[in-house]
Amino acid sequence: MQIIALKKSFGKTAVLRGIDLTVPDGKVTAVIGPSGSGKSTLLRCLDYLEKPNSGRIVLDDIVLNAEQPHKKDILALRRSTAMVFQQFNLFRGRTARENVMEGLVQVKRMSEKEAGVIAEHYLNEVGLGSRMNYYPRQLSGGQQQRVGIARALALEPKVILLDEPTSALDPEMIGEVLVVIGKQAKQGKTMLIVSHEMDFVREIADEVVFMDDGLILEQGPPRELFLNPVHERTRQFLARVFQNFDYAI
Amino acid sequence: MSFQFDFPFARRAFAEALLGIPVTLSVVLAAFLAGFPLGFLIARCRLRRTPVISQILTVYVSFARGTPVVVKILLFYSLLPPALEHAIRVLGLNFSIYDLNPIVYAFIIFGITSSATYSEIWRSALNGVDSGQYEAAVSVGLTPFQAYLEVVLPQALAIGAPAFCSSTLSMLKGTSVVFLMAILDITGRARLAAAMGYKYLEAYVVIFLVYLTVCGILEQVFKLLEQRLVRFRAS
Ligand SMILES: Nc1ncnc2c1ncn2[C@@H]1O[C@H](COP(=O)(O)OP(=O)(O)OP(=O)(O)O)[C@@H](O)[C@H]1O
Ligand SMILES: [Mg+2]
Repeated sequence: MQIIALKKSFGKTAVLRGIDLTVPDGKVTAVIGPSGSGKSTLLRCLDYLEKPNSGRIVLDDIVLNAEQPHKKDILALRRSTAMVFQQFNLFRGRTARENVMEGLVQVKRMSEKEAGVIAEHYLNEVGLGSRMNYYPRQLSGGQQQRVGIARALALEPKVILLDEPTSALDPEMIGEVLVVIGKQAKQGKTMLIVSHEMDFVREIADEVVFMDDGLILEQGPPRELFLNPVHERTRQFLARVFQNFDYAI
Repeated sequence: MSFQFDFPFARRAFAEALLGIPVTLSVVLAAFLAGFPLGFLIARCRLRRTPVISQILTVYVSFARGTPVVVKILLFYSLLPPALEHAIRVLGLNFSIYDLNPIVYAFIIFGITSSATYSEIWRSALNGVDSGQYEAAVSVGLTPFQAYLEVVLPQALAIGAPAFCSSTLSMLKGTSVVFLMAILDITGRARLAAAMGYKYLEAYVVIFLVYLTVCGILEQVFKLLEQRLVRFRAS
């Protein structure tokens, strides 16, 4: 996936001020940066949940030009990507299995039976084989997020977008969700993840992108970026998050 | 003043009033079939703040909701037929508007009123559905239309069901004023019987009981529908 000169403002405030980024196939790209730097907005633009003002998003043969977006391209882009939300956003009133089946039945036009088999496969994959028929409200936050991940995986998207998938979770549930994401990363799924879990990012990311104030300030493999940040802003940010982390222990 | 309740007469008035039930229900049904989807469209336009249309609809809704049905009936029924008659004559059509069954006016008046009432319920119900639900649906690849139909609507219906039910029931009771247009609904039939027998109290007691029963049944129908939506409601 290629993002070219992507810009987005809310009214007069420019939130993305020209993002150029390549998300390589089969790799995990992590986006870090201070609050309000535009990380969520970037991910949301990639699924067209937010309408970018200018720039292009290229994914294989899909070219979405933000200035002249075609409905067909928006749909194609959404169908080649899948979002894992901070607040899970599981479909209310649908069981875990039905949540995963929805896209398969409505979009991929599978029969209920086929979709059910695939849903069960992916729910097993995230360790929820025993919770297939539970409704979201009957599941813990960690379990809900794992359903959210299964729902994204089942669509076999080209890119999985994860926006702080663990930040709405109680601390004791973060681990189980990170394990599931880590497992998928090792299987070579293409991911773009926003996370404040620096240890996790260091472990699974192939490339780390530091965003500040609507721009990508620098990027590189985690070891380089974490150990030898070039920019002062990056250094300050890393010092702050690692210090907080120490406090937490 | 001595008074005796005339049971045989009440029984006859009751039989008369029952004949009015289909008429009453047809007004309610017509108003529902028109007002429910129309109310949804009005709510969507207003929520999306479509310029101009949205403002026009706001005015429409406050007029339709802010005036008593009786007044609308008096106004429509005295204004519309002469106006239409004139229009027909200008167009050179061979048709008298006065041949038109007045129930058509009832359909229009209650359709307008209920579209406004339902639109307000739709508005708060649609607002009550977390925007993350729509986002998740389109992110899964559903078209905006599918996302609405599959994900947003069932939840909005679940939220709005009690209000849809109570406003439909009060509309049913409100249709009793159509007797003003000489429509023989429940009230119209019973009043006719009363006038012929000079026994008003019996007739009014009968009307009272018939509405109570019909409303009770309709309420149960809504309850059944509501149960099917219960799982979509926020916990
Ligand atoms: N719908 C919106 N309307 C107006 N401003 C918005 C909207 N969404 C986001 N913003 C603004 O855009 C900026 C970037 O927000 P964004 O959520 O992308 O930041 P973030 O990097 O994800 O932050 P965090 O780490 O807190 O999640 C913020 O200043 C925010 O106030
Ligand atoms: Mg964010």
